[in-house]
Amino acid sequence: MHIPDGYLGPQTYIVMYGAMTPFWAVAAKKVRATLKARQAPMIAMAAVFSFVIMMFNVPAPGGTTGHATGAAIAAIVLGPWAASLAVSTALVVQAILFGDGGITAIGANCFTMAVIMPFTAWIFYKSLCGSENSSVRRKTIAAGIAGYISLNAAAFATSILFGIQPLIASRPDGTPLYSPYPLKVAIPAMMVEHLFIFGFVEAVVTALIVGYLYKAEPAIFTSEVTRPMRKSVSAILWAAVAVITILTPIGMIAPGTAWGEWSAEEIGKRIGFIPQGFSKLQNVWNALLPDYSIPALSGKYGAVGAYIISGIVGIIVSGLIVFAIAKLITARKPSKQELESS
Amino acid sequence: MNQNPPAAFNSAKANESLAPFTPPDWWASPDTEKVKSSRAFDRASGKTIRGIASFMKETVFAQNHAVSGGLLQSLDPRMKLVTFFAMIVSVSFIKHPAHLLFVYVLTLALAAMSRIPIPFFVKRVWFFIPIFSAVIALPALILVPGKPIAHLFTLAGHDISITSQGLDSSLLFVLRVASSVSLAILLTLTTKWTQLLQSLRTIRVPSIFVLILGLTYRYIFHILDQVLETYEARLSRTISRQSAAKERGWIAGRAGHTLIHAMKTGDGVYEAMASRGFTGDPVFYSEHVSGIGDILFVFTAAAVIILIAVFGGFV
Repeated sequence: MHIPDGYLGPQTYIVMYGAMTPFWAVAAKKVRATLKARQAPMIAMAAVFSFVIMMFNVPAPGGTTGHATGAAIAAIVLGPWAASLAVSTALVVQAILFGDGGITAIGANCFTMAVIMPFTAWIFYKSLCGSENSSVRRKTIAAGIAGYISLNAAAFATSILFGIQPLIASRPDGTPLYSPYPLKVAIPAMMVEHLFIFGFVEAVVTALIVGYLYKAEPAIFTSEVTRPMRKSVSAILWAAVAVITILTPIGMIAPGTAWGEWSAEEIGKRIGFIPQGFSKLQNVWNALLPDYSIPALSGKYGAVGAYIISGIVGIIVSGLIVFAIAKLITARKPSKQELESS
Repeated sequence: MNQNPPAAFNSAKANESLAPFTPPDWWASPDTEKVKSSRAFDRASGKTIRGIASFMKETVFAQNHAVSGGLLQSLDPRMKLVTFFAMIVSVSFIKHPAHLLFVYVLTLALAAMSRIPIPFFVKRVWFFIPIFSAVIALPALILVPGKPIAHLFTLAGHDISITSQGLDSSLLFVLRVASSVSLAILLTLTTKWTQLLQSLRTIRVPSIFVLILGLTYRYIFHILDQVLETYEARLSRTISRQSAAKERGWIAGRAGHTLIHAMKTGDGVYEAMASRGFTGDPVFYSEHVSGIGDILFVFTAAAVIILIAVFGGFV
């Protein structure tokens, strides 16, 4: 999943570096607060682990072998912020000292493997394994699921980065300048192997390692002694929301309309006719938030401001929906074991 | 405290150990017979051992080129780092295959001037990433829509042809990857890793991060060495193959143990650093001073980048 140099255009990799910079800053601050002067060797050793784990080949069904990427295990054991720094370090060492993964793509590689993967793994692990007193079996299964989902989330993000290249960087005659395949090719090409092969390898290895660590050295799970989940989860969500909201105006600067956000007229231009249902639907939508803009805010800068305001409204609405769904899922009865232990 | 010799020397057990060797029961147990057909160990663990060994060998040999006294080796690593990063970034802006080919040939010339054997350099660059990219780029010849230039065959009534855009985008893709990888590998081959990391401070990478990168690089080899020894020790006392499931359990246990061991090593490293006065703020010193050669190199590189940009490269 290491994106080499030459696969992504500057429009993408510069934005990814931009997205990673605040993340690294926050992660460094958080890790410094807990590890103090100890942070340098500890992060380095966690980075060593996330490098070395890729060397452990595991027999996979069908006579093949595979290896885990380690970001999920690091997140489960050390917490997502420390894991994020550790995996970033490993990726930078690989890119600069071993020529594995592009130097221009460091931002993009860190975003998929050092942000999306550890945070997804950690959120799924924490929400599935229940309280600290849950059985090791349950924690093992939770770790496996977290490994599977997080690897696929990272692979999906990578495939989107590949797939948008022909859309945002082509010559006027349609020649793609970087990764040549559109989303409809890039997504299946990446996802089939991750959903059906690598995801399961990651799941099994993550589960087995977490199970082993609970038996051999339970004290190593420093992520559990950090603050309770809810506060941290909301902090991550807010950080992600802030990054996305701030990056939104870049969509305004870029020429053309974002892919998939065409108005009826543009679709007409692109495919030769306007689907009837589409034009009707657009009128309904315009009534609610006319083309993402508020009449009082006009002009170029007004439009950017309106875009951001509309974005915030959209984020709050979708946030409420996600929050409601999450509440429904997590509002489960405590297990028998938990009742006994409490 | 106990002044007597160890128990084994004077106890009855010592005599027992001299008795004729009798194989333990489990050697003949049906369990080991049953799994004989599984080639799990050979497949996965053999690959791990070979992988680690070749990784270490390659890295050690690669560092030999950093001290072989060619053109790039003689430059100030800070200048070299900034110039090579600028070159890699400008390669990402180029829009014509011919310009990329020019940069690629330039990297070959630089390699020759830096006393890096060309066959070794070409193999090192192309092996894996650019070859893999070339395989990926092949279908793009026909998949990218555009003006047909060579008819291949007809499939279910559709003409399948190589398009002009497809050919151009494949060439751009493969040459761009090859040129960027060549530049990156040229930089790592001709610079000592300690100098390369220290140079990162010239592009404003925080010193604590440079320290972390250095520690990571150093301890990768230490930990890999331990993993290799674990595998070799096990191989030396393996008399029968295990099932794939048992094998996975063992490997995961070793991987988990590696994490425990790495974290404990980190503790030890911190204590060693603290005892020598480390407070959390690393201090670096540089022994390099830029000379006239460095300035000439930077100017030449800048001229090349400007030339490509002016002659229709970036637009």
